[in-house]
Amino acid sequence: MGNIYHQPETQGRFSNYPAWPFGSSAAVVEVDPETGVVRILDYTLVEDAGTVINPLLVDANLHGGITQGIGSAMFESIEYDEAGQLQTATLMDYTIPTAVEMPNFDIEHQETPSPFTPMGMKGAGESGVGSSLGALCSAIENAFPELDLRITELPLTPARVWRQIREAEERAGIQQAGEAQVQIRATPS
Amino acid sequence: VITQEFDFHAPTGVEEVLGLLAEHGDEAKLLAGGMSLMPTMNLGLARPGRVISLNHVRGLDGVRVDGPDLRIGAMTRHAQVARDPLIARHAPALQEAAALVGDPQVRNRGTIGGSLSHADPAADYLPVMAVLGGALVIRSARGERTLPADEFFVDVLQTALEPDELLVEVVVPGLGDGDGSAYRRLARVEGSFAIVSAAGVVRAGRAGARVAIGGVAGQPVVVDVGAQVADGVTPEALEQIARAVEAACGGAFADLSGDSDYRQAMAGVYARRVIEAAAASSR
Repeated sequence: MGNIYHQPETQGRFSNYPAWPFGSSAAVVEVDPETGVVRILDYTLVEDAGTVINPLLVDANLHGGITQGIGSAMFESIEYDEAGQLQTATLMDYTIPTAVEMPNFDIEHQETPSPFTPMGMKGAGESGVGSSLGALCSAIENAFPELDLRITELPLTPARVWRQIREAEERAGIQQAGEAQVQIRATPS
Repeated sequence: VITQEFDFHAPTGVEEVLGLLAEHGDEAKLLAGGMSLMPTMNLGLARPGRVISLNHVRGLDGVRVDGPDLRIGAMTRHAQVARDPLIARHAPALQEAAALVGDPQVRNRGTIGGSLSHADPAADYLPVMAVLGGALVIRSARGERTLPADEFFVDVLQTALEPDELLVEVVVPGLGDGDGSAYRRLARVEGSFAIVSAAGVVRAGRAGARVAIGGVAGQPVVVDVGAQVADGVTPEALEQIARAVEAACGGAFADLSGDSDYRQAMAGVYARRVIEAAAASSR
């Protein structure tokens, strides 16, 4: 491996990434039940980057990581038509979040040094990406305690969330009332 | 990247533009703010042999009151429309729409005439023009004509403009005392195209009401909802409006932002919301 430091994986093979991201997210969301539009009100990440040398750099990486995670959870997807033509080839069609869509982040750190790397450092950045997907899906599900909402597909476009809410209402036997707030649960006989 | 050669004209007067159009209209494209023409040329979707810029033409922008109407020059930028006090006073729904077009850079370059001539079904001005009964003043070397919005918009990216014609002015009937209006849009992120947009007007004393939906069909879908609001803008009336508009939007467009069922349902939701907002804004 020449002049680079290399930490082999357990079977001695080359491992180009010697640490895994450790992070857990919690999100507070507001869902418009009539349109499926999701707004993130608050967002917290707790992560473990091992030994932190430069806290500012770690936080900055995590801000980017969380934004990427929220982007892939809520907006981004590569779509092709039946002929294999890419439909999302420009940023007119491929939706990414901007500062307007981003909530304020709270980031908390755990510092557990890695026994496998120099100085105990782990990755910082990816820890912000992975857990956002599950946190946002769960937050949307929990916004409808009366429904058996199971969100298993991303991104969380308004159309997709709206469809999931309608289907869960059908499963629960709820008629969609005109006013979103007036959802009446049918009493099982 | 624009790979083909084209001739570029930068006339300074309307007559000069009309002369160029009379001679080269078939192969020429008019450049207003360039917010649609430039991307389509960059993608190779438009390959005009000539581009005629309107950016140095005098007398094509500005806002004035003419009796009961507002007259807005075709080259008036979105940012100007969004902050013009006359528009705020006489056509607030148009101001709301202008403030939501694209992002600040688009609003500083793009023009009301360019947007209307491009006639993208998702464009913010279209439902407002349709619901207020606006009209478009068109000139060519052959003369001048004025078309109501519902005759001007033909289909997706298609207007009644002939190749030698120039849209010079947008006429919007001002709101009367006691009238209320509103514009609302559903979009994925700030600055993206509207999935569904809605403009509504409720006349003084609920003497009439109309709603126009954009983004569902080749031209705005206009529904008269005067009967529904006659006895008051109640939850029941709003629900009837939602149903009526949903029924009028069958076979709505589908794309990556939403299938036809979703757009149709959103047309109903936004019709209800925009009429509620219009009634609340009556002065």
